[in-house]
Amino acid sequence: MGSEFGPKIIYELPGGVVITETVVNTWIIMIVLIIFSLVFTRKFEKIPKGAQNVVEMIVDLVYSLTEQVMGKNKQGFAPYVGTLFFFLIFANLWGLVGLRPPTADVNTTSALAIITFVLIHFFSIKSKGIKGYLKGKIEPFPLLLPLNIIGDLATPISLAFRLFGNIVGGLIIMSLLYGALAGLSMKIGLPIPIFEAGIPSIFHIYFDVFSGVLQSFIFVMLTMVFVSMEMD
Amino acid sequence: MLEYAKLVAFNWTFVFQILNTIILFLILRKLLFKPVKEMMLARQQRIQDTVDEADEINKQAQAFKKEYEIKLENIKEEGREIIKAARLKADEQYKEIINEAHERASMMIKHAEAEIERENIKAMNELKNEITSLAFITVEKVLKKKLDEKDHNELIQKFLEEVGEAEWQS
Repeated sequence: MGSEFGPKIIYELPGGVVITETVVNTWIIMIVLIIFSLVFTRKFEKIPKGAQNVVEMIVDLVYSLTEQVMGKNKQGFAPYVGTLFFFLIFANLWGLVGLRPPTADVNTTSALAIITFVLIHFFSIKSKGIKGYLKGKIEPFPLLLPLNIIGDLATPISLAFRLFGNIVGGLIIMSLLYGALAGLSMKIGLPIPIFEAGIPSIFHIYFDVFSGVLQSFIFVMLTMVFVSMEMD
Repeated sequence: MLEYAKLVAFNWTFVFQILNTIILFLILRKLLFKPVKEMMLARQQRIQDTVDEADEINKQAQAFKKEYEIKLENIKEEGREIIKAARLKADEQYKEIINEAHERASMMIKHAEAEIERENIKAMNELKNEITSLAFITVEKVLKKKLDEKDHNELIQKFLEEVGEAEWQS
């Protein structure tokens, strides 16, 4: 059906609804995150110790980051910001365990970008009122209305494809590298593909760890900035 | 044989991912963010309350301390005054007692002197009476007895001796 860089189709429901690798991996990440939350918040005590300190630190970090970027009155966004951040970190680093990152699928990144798009415009209308929102579209002067609309539409597209491009690029380069290293050991005639053992880890550090964490951070920061900018 | 979806193609995954994200958001908010944040806020509030309470108690204690210090100072002052007053009173009493004793002693000495004087006079008088009566007795004896020169002399001598003895004895 497609190239072998696309996500595998795990199951096809009647009516052409396909369950791909992306969705399954997302479910696994969701389950992992939920189990983490359950385990770490189950034995919460008034005086924190051990893992509770770490959880509190992370949650506090999410809240203070939201407060710093969006402002004190928009702390209510922190749970979504935190969810997005945790999900993206897990998704982008998913390649490290040998599975396909859910963010290497344009459907995932577009879904997240559409949610951001909806948040931007919903909260813009909510905070400015429909009049103020529409007035914002013809500023600084009415001639710029088409440009403003294009700009608004460009935001989710750029968000989605920035993340998708970075992750899928890394994925493709990594699979090419694995293929090349396997081919190299075969050419030399080694019974064990020894090159695949150490060399890819350096590339994993760059493409998965560095690029993945950076892109998660960028996506989250841009979401926060766009939402809070449109609100004020 | 597994099939691959197209690398860049929109399909049902898009819808699934929107739902997945929303579900994950709702669950994490309920399980992780809200309870942890609430707990931290509650703890912050509790610590604030405790600190405030401690401050309040400390302030009260300071006020009490000051009050008691002032009271203590007053009590000390009072004590000093009482001791001073007592000492003054005691001094006065001491002087009075001494004076009284002096007076009494001098009075007693005077009494004693007067008594001695009186006794002296009384003794003198008695002596005189005695001498007089002795003289009478002697005269009686002389008159009753017939005496010669020799006897007479003897008698006078005896009498004188008697008188002298009596005087010496007293």
